[in-house]
Formats: sequence, structure tokens, C-alpha cells
Amino acid sequence: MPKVEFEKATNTAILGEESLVFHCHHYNCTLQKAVQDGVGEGAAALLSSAAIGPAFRQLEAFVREGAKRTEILALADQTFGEVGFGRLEFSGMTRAGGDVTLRSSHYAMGWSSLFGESKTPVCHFAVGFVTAAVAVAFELTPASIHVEETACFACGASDDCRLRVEVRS
Amino acid sequence: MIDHDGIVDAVSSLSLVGNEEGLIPAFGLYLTRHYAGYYNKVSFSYLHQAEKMGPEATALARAALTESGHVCAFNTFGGIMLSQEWEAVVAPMIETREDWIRGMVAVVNAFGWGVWQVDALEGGKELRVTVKNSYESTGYLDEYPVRSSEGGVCFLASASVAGLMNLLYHGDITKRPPLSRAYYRETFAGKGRFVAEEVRCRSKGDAACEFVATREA
Repeated sequence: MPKVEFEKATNTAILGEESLVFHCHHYNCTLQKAVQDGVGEGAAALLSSAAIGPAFRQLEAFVREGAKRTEILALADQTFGEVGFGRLEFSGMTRAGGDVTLRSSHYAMGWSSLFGESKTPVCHFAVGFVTAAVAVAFELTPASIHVEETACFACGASDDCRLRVEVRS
Repeated sequence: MIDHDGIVDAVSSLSLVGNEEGLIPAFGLYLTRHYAGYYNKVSFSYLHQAEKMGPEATALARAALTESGHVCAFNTFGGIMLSQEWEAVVAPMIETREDWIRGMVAVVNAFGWGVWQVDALEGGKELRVTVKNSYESTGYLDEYPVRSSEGGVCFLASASVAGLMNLLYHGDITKRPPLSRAYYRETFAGKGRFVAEEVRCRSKGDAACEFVATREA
């Protein structure tokens, strides 16, 4: 598992060529709510697509650093968990798609604790991250991948969040 | 006397990584080590959409992004200042109320937010902070041309500078209050609160970003 490197001269933290910053669930969820309230209908797409670029670049950097593409989904889960977003189970994922279980979702748990139950799924960051992970693992373009959160803890799903991945030709 | 480098080293060496559940509980919060690029894409897409809609929408977006930063400052800075780690590492160095701010700025310098420096601090009146490489301005310049419109883009940093003053000179974090919603309103929304202005921003061609927090008129 690649480790976060802290560059003291610039006070920046880097993992897989991407700059990382510490933030808590209050900021993450409040910023997301501000964007949802301000942007309206297009907010979910904005929030999920914003995750694709940095996640895709980071996971491709892991490949350049020696990771095999067959290891990428496991590495994606480890990375996602190490930086605090929960755990991703990609078991059964193929280049045609599949289902992902998101356990202990940072955004869903944070949202529930701050704002109560949501009418719509809130794990937009995870949707973008999973899109990037599947794209890198199977050498697909992110645009060919559609990910939808079908159950979200923040909406009252009893335990885990679930995401469905479809690959479109 | 605040040992800035000692605090940065101590905080950087904390094992702030996900547990078996993939969560980072610390300082009474759930932390993440998020992509700077994610925040920037989200914030600036929202800002630019609002700017296309006109001044009223722009003002609303800027206020919402700043408010998110105030919430961050209250909970993150407040949580850290009330933590055992603060008691162990920073508190022994504190001699004055101003040292709380200098200590917290040292902690911030382990967050990956860039190089923060207190330029001037007049207790209860004014705080000036320069950030040489704020992640917000860096992200902006990576994606967009230098701005010609009014206002900087470092909403989180600006709100955080105001937040430091509000926690110390409008509220009083030294009394270890519970970080409740009521205390947030009292500290960040009450009359006489501090607000910050980004008087220089790299997104506008300045060499560094500079923030000044004063009491709201």
C-alpha cells in the first residue's frame, strides 16, 4: 500500500501524485449541502464527477509505481479506507460491471449525524471514486461507466450503502 | 513560547489513518485525508455557475462557501483545541491567549493546507495571515486563468482565519465550552463576530494569499 508523503517545505501531503488535505465530516457534509442547495438538480453529477479526476490520476499513478491492474480494486478499497471514507467491497466486479458494497460511509454517517435522514443518496464522492477505480482496473474510460447508489445509509438503508456499476459500450 | 516546528513534527507524526472500518475518529470528529482537487473542483464549479447567473447568485455562493469554512473552523479547530493531543503537545507552550492562535496555525501547517504564517496579531482586534501556497489558489491556477473579477477564491482559508479569532476573542474556547450548535451561532453569527477578507490571492496574480480578520462593522 503506497504511503502518504508529507513535504515539509510546502506543508503538502501527497499520495499517488495527488495532494491530500485533512478535513472533517462537518466540513465535508456542510460543503456538499451548500453545493446541493445552491446548484440544485445538477449537484449530484457535479459532486460525483469532481471525484473522478483525482481518483483516476491517483490510481493510475499507483499503476505507474508498479501496482498491477488486477490489484487496483483491492488497492482502491485500501486507499479509500486509509484516508477515512469507509470500506469498499468490489467482489464479483467484472469489466461489464457489478455491485459494490460501501461499509461505514463517511459521507452517509456524517450526513445522518448532522442533518438527519436524507431523501436522496449522499455518497456522491464514492460514486466518482468507484467510477475511477473500475476505469483504471479494467482500462476503460470513466465516461463509459455509470455508477448509481441504489441504497444509502443516510436514506435509512439499514446498514451498508450499495452502488451498481454498469459499463456501457 | 510556541515551538512551531515542534508542533508540525508532532502532529505530522500522529497516526491519523483509517481503522478497520475505514474511518479516522480523532478530536471528536471523523477526519478524512481528502483530495484537494475534489474540494477545488466542487467549490469553483459552484462559484463559476453562480458568477454566470449574476451578482446576487455570486454573493449567495460566496456566502455559502464561506459558511462551510466557518463550520470547519469551529468544529475542527475547536475540536483540536479541546483534545488530549492539544493538552499534551501545545498547551504546555501557551503563555498568552495569542499563543492559542499561533499554536493552532502550527497545527494547520500539518494539515496539507499550505504554508500558513501569522504576520500580525492584535489580540481582540485583528489577525493577518499569509498563506504562500494555499491549496485553493493552487487548484484554481491549475484549472483556470488568473481571475480578473473581484474577490479571492480561498474560501476555506479565509473563513478559518476568521474562525481563529471567533474562537478566541468572540467566543472563548479556553473555557472548554461544548461545541454545540448554539455555541456555534453565538460564536460565529452573533453581533461583534470576526469576519475575514482575502486582500491578496494568487488566483488574481498575487504572489501569496493574505487574509485580514477584523470585527464585523
